[in-house]
Amino acid sequence: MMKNDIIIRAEGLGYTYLDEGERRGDEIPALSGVTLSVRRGEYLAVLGHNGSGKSTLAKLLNLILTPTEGKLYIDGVDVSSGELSEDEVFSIRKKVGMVFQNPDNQLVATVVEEDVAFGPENLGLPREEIRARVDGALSLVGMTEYARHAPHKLSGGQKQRVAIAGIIAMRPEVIIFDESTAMLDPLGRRDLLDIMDRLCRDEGITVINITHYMDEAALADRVIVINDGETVLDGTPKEVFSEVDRLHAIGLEAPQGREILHLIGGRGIKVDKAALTEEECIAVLYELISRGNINE
Amino acid sequence: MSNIIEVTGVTYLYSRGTPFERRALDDVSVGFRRGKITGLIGHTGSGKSTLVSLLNGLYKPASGTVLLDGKDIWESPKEISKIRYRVGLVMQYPEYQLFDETVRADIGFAPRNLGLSKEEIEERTLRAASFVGIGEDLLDKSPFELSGGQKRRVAIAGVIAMQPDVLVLDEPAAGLDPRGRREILGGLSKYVTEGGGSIILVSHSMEDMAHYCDDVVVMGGGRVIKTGSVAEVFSDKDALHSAGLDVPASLRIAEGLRERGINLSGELYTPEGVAEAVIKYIGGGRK
Repeated sequence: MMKNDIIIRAEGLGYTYLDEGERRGDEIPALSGVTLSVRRGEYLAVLGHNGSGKSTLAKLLNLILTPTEGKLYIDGVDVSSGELSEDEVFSIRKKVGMVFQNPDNQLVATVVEEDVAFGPENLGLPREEIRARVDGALSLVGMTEYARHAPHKLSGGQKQRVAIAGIIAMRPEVIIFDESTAMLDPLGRRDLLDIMDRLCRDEGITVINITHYMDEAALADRVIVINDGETVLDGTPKEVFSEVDRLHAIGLEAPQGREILHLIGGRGIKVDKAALTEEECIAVLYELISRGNINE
Repeated sequence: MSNIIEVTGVTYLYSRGTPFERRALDDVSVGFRRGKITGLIGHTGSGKSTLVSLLNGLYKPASGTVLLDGKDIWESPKEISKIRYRVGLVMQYPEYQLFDETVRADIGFAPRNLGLSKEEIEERTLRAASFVGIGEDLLDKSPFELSGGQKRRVAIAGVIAMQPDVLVLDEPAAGLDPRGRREILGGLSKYVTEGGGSIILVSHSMEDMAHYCDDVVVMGGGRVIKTGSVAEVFSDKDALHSAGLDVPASLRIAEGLRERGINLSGELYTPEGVAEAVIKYIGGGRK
């Protein structure tokens, strides 16, 4: 693979922080020895339980934290030295946008379109260019009709869409969603997942969805599972979710269809381990039942 | 009375008497059974948060009554703060409301305000902590040293320590991983089975409803769309769809099989239920 096909490359990446609580001064490793490559345009899900280190990974990728071990390259640039100039940091952050869990923490303006324009304005772009980017971004997330509304009067899902528009307007290469659907209702969640999919498929943006919803991870091209600060599984959703016992051991689950097949498999009945979507699981169960009846 | 809380003909208006007046609840009547866990589900704007705020007297209905154990909670408006000890409300992300120096003091805040004896405060604190799985080793720590999931549980214990007749929780498991969800929701079940309380659980997760609730109330557009046992509500797909909600994935899979002529029977809204039903079906076929 050509070097510039890899947008993010981590080699033995780790982050250790100093405890400020009871064990003041102790070194607590939040992430260690993570090696991974993210291809340009890939849709990656990072799965792990609360406290697994997945949010630390996100903060490293966005240069909010500087790694304490290993190397991190973003678009070919080594960003792990901690010796980047302010301009260099700014240029990397422009490439890697981040959507957080709580939409109230990331909206700054009192009018939706002004909030979206905040980033491009700081880039010092010409007025027409800002206008075009804001309109384009709002249209992409389906919020055009709310351009003149006040963000605080929107629903949680709408606020997240405005936050995403603000990031899209910066024309990033990568967008990291750090548990961005956790506070949304089912409709808001579905909308946001549709947007992630479109950003990746239609706009060619690399999408990294950090989540502990198994059904969300199943939508990605690739899933990595982090536990105790280390990568424990890395593969397609089909590969990762066929390891149901390992997922259970680290406090995670598989999507419900896969869980049903796993329970049946646990009773000594042979079932396809690769089925993942609801349709695939229905087909496997149908086949199994038909076979059972033929055995009659 | 089999209902611990009963709401009859309740209407609630936001910005009443202004041009921005909006009807958040429209002639709602619904009962919550004593000693049960009732799930309250509906979309943003469905009226469920408004309903929850009416149950403990945070809001006063424009018309209609809220009966707690058969008595109108607004009978003597000056006493309404007492109702808030009997109907304990756990807001979303309650961990942001922790404030005291130790976990013990934080959980014991409400019992102290109730003017209870030292011994009873301690006893209630320990009991509340055990319901949410907070061990005694954590009680002397600062709440701010705890993990997010632990903080959430301490905050819930603070409401449980009031020993309310009804515990109302708004998305208590939001943002938690599967294990954290199980720990919190499983502990809450104990408040009903061992503590003798009743629970109203607001959640977006149909899977959690299927696992932990006895009854479900579906809200939409400021009205109650459907109410009944989990089995009754989940079998009424039209009602759920009209509220913009979906059934649990397990039930969708069971329905996919039904469309192909395979009628499974049993509790088909959890993976365990569907797996059992399939095994029974095959076993039945082999006999």
